[in-house]
Amino acid sequence: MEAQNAIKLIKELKTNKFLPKFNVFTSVFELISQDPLVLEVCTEITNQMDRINQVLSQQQHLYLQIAYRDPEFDREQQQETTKLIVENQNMQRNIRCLLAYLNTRADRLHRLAWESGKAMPEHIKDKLTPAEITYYQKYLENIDQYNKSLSLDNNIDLTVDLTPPKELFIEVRIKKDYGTIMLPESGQVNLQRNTTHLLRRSEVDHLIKQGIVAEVV
Amino acid sequence: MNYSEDGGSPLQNDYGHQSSNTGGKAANKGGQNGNQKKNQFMTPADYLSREQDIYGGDLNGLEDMIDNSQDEERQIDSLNADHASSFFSQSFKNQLNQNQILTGFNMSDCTQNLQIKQLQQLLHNEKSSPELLPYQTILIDKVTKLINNQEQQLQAPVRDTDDRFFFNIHKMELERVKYMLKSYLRTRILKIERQVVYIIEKDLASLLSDPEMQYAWTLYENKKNYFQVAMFNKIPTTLNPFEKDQLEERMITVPNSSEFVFARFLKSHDVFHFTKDIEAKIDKDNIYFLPYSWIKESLQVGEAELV
Repeated sequence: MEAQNAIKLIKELKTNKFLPKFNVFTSVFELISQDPLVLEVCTEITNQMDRINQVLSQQQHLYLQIAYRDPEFDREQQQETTKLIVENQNMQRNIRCLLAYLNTRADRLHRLAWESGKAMPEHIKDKLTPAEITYYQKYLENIDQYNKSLSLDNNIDLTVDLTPPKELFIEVRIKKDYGTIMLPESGQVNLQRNTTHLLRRSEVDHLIKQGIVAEVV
Repeated sequence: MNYSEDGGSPLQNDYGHQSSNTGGKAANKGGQNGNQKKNQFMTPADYLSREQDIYGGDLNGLEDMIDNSQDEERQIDSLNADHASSFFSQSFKNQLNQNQILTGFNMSDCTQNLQIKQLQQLLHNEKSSPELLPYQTILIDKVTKLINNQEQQLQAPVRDTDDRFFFNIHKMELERVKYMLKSYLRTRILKIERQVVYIIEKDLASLLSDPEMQYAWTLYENKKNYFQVAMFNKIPTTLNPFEKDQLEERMITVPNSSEFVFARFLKSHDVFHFTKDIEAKIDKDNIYFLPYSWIKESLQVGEAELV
């Protein structure tokens, strides 16, 4: 049925806290470059546009009469016009739904970018289309650039400290073996799995985002 | 404070650590011993004086701090309070200047406190207002400079545990100020993202700083490209609203200026006209719950603040 797919898309967004998955049936195909539902809606829109164009090209005079609000509209022509208007609104609505869908997805990507930074978790990557991954990277670049323009001689990094700092040092537990790293203030730290360290918050912030260490609360 | 003079034997440092870091009692003792003592050991008061850069209490006309013996906890608590000033004597201040602990910092020009407060207010306003507020170039520049200044001071080597203790407090305060600044900028970025089409189409560049405008443009272009690839490539071009010269009004998300906000008035008015028809008596320092558009102008001239 017309317009059902678009509604489906919006509902998907609503029921998912984060990005919804692809349709199960279609994700079997190897090369997915697009969410199948989005594609379907696109096809629908194209078809609607075609139909409108067809009707218009068949009845050029109708088009003129709509434009000039000819009082001598007979009933049949009025029917045609109504059909056109409904069709048109249907199409506009589809476009609107699609845009809203894509925009919300983009917004959720923004949130992801702030929360997880450069390292996108693998399980999320599966849910994204290539276009979205490109967008995500461009978005990160943009934040980076803004960051740089802010702080030429200043180490203000907007992507760290998303919560107000309560302590200078935090206790972290290492979740993955990461070898030995050099931290600017704490010096050499051996990140061995299941050990805990007391480290400067600003130093380990990026490690927390990558999921290598977790804060012990 | 005594980085320059304290560089003697490690033994001496150890001693200093014991005498001035054993709680209130010792701090009192250190205080009574007077100025000579301060040449050798760092007391909390010494360190607090460095904190002045952040909180910037007024150092003029101070009483002799030494006689006002107070315990250490209160000294730290009083960072913000008025009586913090009583910890610093004039001679002490002079000594500080001589020692050039505060390199490049003019002690008599302590307006920092005000700026931090302003930043705080700015953050609150920005966070609670539905619309993007004008970017405060001067204030942000000043705060950034202050932070830079402080960071440079914190580059000084840390010698002993005493030093480290105060160093950490200092650093913590700095982190807090930095957080406020970052939070302000982030809040703005978030709003810009939400209203990017509105900003670009209505040309609100005057509200944004240059880097922010750059950011908004790039974001807009990226989004356009993304929509293009994701959907507009698959449907007829004439249907793409971004291809038209002007976006339709309904495509632009306008910030909801009738959103209700909590506002505190800093001035009292006998009769204040919210709109043409609605007026009321406004008391100073009272908090009101109003539509944003009603207090927009008062906010701009600084007669009201959001909470």
